[in-house]
Amino acid sequence: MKSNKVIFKVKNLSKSYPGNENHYTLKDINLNITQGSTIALIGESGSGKSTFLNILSGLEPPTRGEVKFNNVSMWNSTEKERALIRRNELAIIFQSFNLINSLTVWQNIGFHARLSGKWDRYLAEQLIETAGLKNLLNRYPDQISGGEQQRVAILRAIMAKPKVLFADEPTGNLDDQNSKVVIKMLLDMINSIGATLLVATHSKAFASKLDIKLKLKDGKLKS
Amino acid sequence: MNSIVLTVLTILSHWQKKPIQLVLMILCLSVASALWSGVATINKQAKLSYDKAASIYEISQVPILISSEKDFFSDDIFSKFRKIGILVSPVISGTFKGNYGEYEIFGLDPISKNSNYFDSRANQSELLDFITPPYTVFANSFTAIRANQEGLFSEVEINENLADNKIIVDIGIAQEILNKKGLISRLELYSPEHDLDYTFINENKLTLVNSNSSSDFDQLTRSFHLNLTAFGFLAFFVGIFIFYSAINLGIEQKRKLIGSLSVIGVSKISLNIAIIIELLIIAIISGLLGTILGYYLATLLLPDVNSTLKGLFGVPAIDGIALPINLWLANFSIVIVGVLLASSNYLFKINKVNILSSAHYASLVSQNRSNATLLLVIGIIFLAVGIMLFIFSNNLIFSFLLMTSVLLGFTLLLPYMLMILLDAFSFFSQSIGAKWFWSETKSQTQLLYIALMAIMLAFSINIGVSGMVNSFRVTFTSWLDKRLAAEIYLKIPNPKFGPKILEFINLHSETILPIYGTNIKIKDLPATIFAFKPHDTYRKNWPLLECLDDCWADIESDMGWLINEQFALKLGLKVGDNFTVKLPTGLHDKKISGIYSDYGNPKIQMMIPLNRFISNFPKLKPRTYAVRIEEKEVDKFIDLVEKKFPFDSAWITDQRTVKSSSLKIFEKTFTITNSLSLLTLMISGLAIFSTIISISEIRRSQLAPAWAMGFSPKILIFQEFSRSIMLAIIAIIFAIPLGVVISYILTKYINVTAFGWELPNAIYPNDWMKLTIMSVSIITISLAIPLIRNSSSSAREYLRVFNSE
Repeated sequence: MKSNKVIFKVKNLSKSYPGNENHYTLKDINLNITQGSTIALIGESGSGKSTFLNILSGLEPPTRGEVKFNNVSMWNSTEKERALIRRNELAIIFQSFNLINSLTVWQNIGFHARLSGKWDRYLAEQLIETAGLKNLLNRYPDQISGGEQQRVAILRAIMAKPKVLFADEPTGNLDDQNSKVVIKMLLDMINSIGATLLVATHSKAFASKLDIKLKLKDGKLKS
Repeated sequence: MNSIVLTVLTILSHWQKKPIQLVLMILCLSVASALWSGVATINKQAKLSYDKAASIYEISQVPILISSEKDFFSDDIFSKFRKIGILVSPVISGTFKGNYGEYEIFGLDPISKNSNYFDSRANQSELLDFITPPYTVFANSFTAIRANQEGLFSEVEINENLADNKIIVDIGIAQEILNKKGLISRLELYSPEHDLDYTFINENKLTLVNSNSSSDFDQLTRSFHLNLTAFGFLAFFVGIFIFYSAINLGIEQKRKLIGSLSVIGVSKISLNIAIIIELLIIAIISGLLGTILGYYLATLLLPDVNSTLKGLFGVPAIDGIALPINLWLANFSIVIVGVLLASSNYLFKINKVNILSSAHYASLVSQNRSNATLLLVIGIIFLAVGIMLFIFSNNLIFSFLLMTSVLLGFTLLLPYMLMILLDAFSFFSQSIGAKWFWSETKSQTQLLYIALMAIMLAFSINIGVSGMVNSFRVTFTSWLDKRLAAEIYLKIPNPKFGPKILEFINLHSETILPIYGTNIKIKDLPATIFAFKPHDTYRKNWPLLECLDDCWADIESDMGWLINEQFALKLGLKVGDNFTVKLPTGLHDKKISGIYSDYGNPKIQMMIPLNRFISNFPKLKPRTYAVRIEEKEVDKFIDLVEKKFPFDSAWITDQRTVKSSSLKIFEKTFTITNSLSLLTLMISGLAIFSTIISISEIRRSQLAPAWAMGFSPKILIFQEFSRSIMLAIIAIIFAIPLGVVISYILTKYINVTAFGWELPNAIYPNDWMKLTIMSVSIITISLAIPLIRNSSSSAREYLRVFNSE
């Protein structure tokens, strides 16, 4: 549900990479993300969108600055604590889907939810019906198309009922038709669980459907 | 569901997509642990058999004859022995389960038994009571009370020297109680051992257990078992080496899975626990299969082990193979420890996996290149340790460590040497096609080098072992020619006919030389002393390794004696030294006039002039003789003697027959070593097979661009195949000099410290060629199967590389 509660607080966040320490991909970024908001992060390739998402989701450390999730400092926490936050509070959708190839579609969809103890079979069956994946449940990821794989990845994320869902170019590997299906499905499902959504995307169509649009340019974040 | 369980199941699901890799990995580990556990089972069983034989002996205090095959045998043999004049006494022993406990029943025949107790006049009445009603039995008071409660015996004579639950009874009664009518467990031997006709013993499937305790058996066979253990361990090591390779290649395939799990929120601790559980499951399955396979391997090798132990060391045969729980557990522990050690790097790498990056061929190759440099450094350290051991090696453990250091040291140099060689090939190639071929070969080497190292290890072990066996075979054959210089050997089958036979043979031959001796102890070591007539036969043929100029004159005048090589090495003596031996006539201080080679005999031995021997052991009479006769007369002479003295066993044999049976025993001695080295070679075949399967997916991403540029899948597969074969052949070529070094260590160090004899070292290129052909065939088959499997789907698979990208 939308509220004014700040769920993510980003303060003076900067990021540079070893070997190129003087060049900042992200420079002194400050941002508050409120619960239930949907945000599009746009920018050219290499502008640091994925890096920003990775730092917020606890996958990649910042060079400087602070990220607080629910008032808990992500990067002062231990690796185990960050893993627990990712498991119970967040979900991530990648451009390359990142499904587990050795598990079937059905197993992949349930995996994150089972891990966080939020598995709901009824919800799963409903969402699978909506996503049109009913006939693919026993297949493995490498036996289905890219569009289908991304729908599985979205279902896996939604089934975990995250507070915040990060999506890194979720339609980057899909054609227009599949992109439309995926965007609609993602937004409908986000609404149904009331999660916060932060999407890094090139797609103007997708960005236009979200509450807030933020642009990353020269390491700075602009509205 | 518990998150750890879910993570474990997900990690395990990886193998659902790679069943062949999983099967191969388990197969590698199972075969390796089978070799180890098979050898451990044989060693353990041997120890039990020696203890059993020794415990039987300790009761009887005299040499005994037991069945080579069963626990009990027919008591008819007793009368057969008595008929041919050999003094034996039957004994039966076994456990009887009564209502109040278990009793050890010992049935004796006091008439035939040499017993001071029954022989003394005072005990004559007891003897009668023992063998006739009321059949008095002997037991201590504790056992007597219980035996009375059982109502088994009417008269129990108390003897507190007997152990609890032990009952001594007349043999007939014991056979009844134990329900073994007409059967006995052993014969106690009272005639001198040299009176025995071994053909008769063998015909009746009996084994003579000498007056050795189990510690003597242990001492005699320790080197043999250590040899087995070393080879078993080496095979296990090669297996673990391959597992290391397989599991590390597996990381690259699992990188994406591990990344996904981390992203979803599986902590590193959970991941580590899940992976350790995965490894333990693999280790337990492999350990279980390995122990079962090892059991069958031990059963398969048992006849050869028995013939070696009996032929070479004269110790009793190992009873059937059993697998006690502690052996299962020990084998499991070894496999689990091995797997965890081999996986330590895997666990380390898992923790370093960058969850945001997928597997990258170039990074994998460059990482392996830096590993090659690291291995070079470790290899040099091993070689330095090897040099230290080479200088200071003075016992069997050091010699094995020397061999291991050299093996590992040289093998670890292989990846770096391959890099240099391939760089050179690439440098001298002109066309872009050739350059591409060599650069691809180099990058394939980075992925294959652990398998190549396994091939090098296994091949060099084979070259080394076959070199040692061949050196031994050549030396042994020429040694046999010298040792068996007489044309005919005879064993008087019945002492009653001895004088007549000798008289007849004396009349029809040139010379007759007695061969006999007895067992003694020299400095607490089991030893044999032999009598010999310093005849020309010895002067011209005896295999002396070293001798003084006036050696034979010394012996004639009883100034000096001859000792075997084992004697000299064990007691640190050389020709010309003096040594003191205690014989029945007192202490004898003699000069060592000569040292002779005595292959196949683990005991120390000396030869003294016949007269001196007779003065010390006047009661011993020779029953074996060497007869000198013109060679063309041999068959005629044997016919004549056999007609004149028609005994039923082969008591007279010609030189040729004795030599061939000696060579047969010799060949059996090395059956196990040969089997183990061959099995190691097969494991290395499995290594290349499983590696090719593991890397084919990784290599595909490298070959896909070439496919897109117009190379047909068949050409690409053929090139992969040629590259792998070429690399295997290079590894084999590198292994040959290493094998020669191993052969040198085996002949000059391990044989000396293990058996007490040194062998001349020679090289056998024909054998190398045969082994190379065999190894290349194994490797070709190992490579062809996965590559043929890949060729059918390669175009589709290459396309998938682009699609995934």
